[in-house]
Amino acid sequence: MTSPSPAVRRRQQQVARLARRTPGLVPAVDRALHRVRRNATLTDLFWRVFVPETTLGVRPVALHPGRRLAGRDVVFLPVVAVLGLGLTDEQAQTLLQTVADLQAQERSFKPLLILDRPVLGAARSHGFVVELVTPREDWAAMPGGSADPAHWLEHVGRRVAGIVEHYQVLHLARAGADGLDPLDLAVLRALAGRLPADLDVRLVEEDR
Amino acid sequence: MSEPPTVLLLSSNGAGMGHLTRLLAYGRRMEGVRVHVVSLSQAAPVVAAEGVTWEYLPSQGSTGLRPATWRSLFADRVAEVLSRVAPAALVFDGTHPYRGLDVALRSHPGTRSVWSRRGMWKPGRNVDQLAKAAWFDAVVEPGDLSAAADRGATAAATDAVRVDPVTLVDRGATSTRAQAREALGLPPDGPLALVSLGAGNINDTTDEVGAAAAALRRQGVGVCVTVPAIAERAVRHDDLHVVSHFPLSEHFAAFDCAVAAAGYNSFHETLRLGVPTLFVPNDHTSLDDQVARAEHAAAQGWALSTRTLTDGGADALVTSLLEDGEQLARAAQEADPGNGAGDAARAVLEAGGLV
Repeated sequence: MTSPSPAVRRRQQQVARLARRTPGLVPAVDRALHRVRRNATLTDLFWRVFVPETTLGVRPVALHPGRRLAGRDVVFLPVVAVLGLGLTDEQAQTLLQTVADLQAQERSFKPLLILDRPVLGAARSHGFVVELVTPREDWAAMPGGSADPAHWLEHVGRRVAGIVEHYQVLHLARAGADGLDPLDLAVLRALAGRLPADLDVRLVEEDR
Repeated sequence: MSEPPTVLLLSSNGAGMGHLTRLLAYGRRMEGVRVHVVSLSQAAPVVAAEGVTWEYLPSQGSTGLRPATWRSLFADRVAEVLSRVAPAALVFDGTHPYRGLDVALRSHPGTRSVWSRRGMWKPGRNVDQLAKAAWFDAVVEPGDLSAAADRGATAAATDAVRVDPVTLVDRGATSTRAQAREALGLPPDGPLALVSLGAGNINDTTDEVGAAAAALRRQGVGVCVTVPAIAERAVRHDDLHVVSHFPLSEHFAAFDCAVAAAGYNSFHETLRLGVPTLFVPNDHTSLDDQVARAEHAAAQGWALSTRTLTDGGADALVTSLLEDGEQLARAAQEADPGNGAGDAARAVLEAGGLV
């Protein structure tokens, strides 16, 4: 799947603008879709007719994949969030490199880093997307923050839940000072075997 | 003791650090409030040096998410910040207020909102965005020394409080030449030029940088290049000095002249702070009319301007810069009405009912 050309994108934007400006259209469609989704009969019929694919690698999920992967089907790779909190800058940079190496070996996921160290330059060098959360030790000084560790935990929980939803995260892998959790590492290594064998995903070097 | 009210500064990503720097210019001049920054720029961490708290919200471009998906993420995150921080006022600096901001603001009526909307839009571009002024309680337009050449959609708009051109650093608040060179790790003696081309990582200006550096070196002028926090790649060369400091304009006395793009901030910082400048406007920006801004400055005798340095004209331009630059810079300073950042800050505080 390729990105639309600028001309196609402009046309899409025009149509979307027209739809948004048509009085009552968007709310009406929203209401209709909501009713269809909550209608057990229609939902059952839809599943019988269309049999939506629930396996990995068939649903496009837009996210920058990083600098190492290319190919027509990168968009079908699932998003894996890697949560690394409480690391030093150096540990966070090491984690980025570990994830980059793993991604290059497996070619089976697009990483989204959730960190509390502002290593944006290092992440950019890998082409990875980063979400930052406030470090626990800085939370008390933030507006709306608190010295209570439980308050910080609640905040981070809400942030991560939102991230999982908006980025359509398939798996949340945790990392500490020693790197990726061994079980999460095993899960990431198992993803490739669950993807369709014919996905066109290559290392960038292979394109040259 | 109760906490002071908070003013939330929300910067769009744009290209470069212009939006963020302008907001910090306002924030520095707000008294009696707490300033908190939420930025879509990957340069966001630099604001910690200003002593303000900050959060980073990845832009659509930096994530690759579909626009609709990103807007949902953006709206969700802004609503969370508004609920948690409960700012008295929010200032959005950008030329394209993102959908979702309106919803978040409507659901937090206790927060008054201001759109900081600079002018000099390319003619005919972005016109539909003007209607979004209705989302905000006030619009503040930081002025432009080249406003007379502004042919964009905001030029005729009557909805804005217009203030004088805004810079983070005031005249008289800069270091001396010796202090500046020491702070930047530059040699204490000899002529040095700042080469600051390209708006962040918006496109590759290596060729322009190379042409500028070569022409300057041929005149015996050392070359300093910037490495903004947002730069994709540092431009490195054995006989180049890499300078990295925020805000760099505090140390502009280190430079005898500059070769710079004509984005809002670099344009006004160099002219206001008296740096003889050759502008090479970046015409690849989607909206900012750098060409009109730079050419107006050249027509007024405030600076030199050229569309490119790669056509063989660099040597003559650099010679002119070295011979006439100081006179041009003095003319620019005489035409400068002064920093509008204080007036903009006051307009924000008034909108938020904080004065």
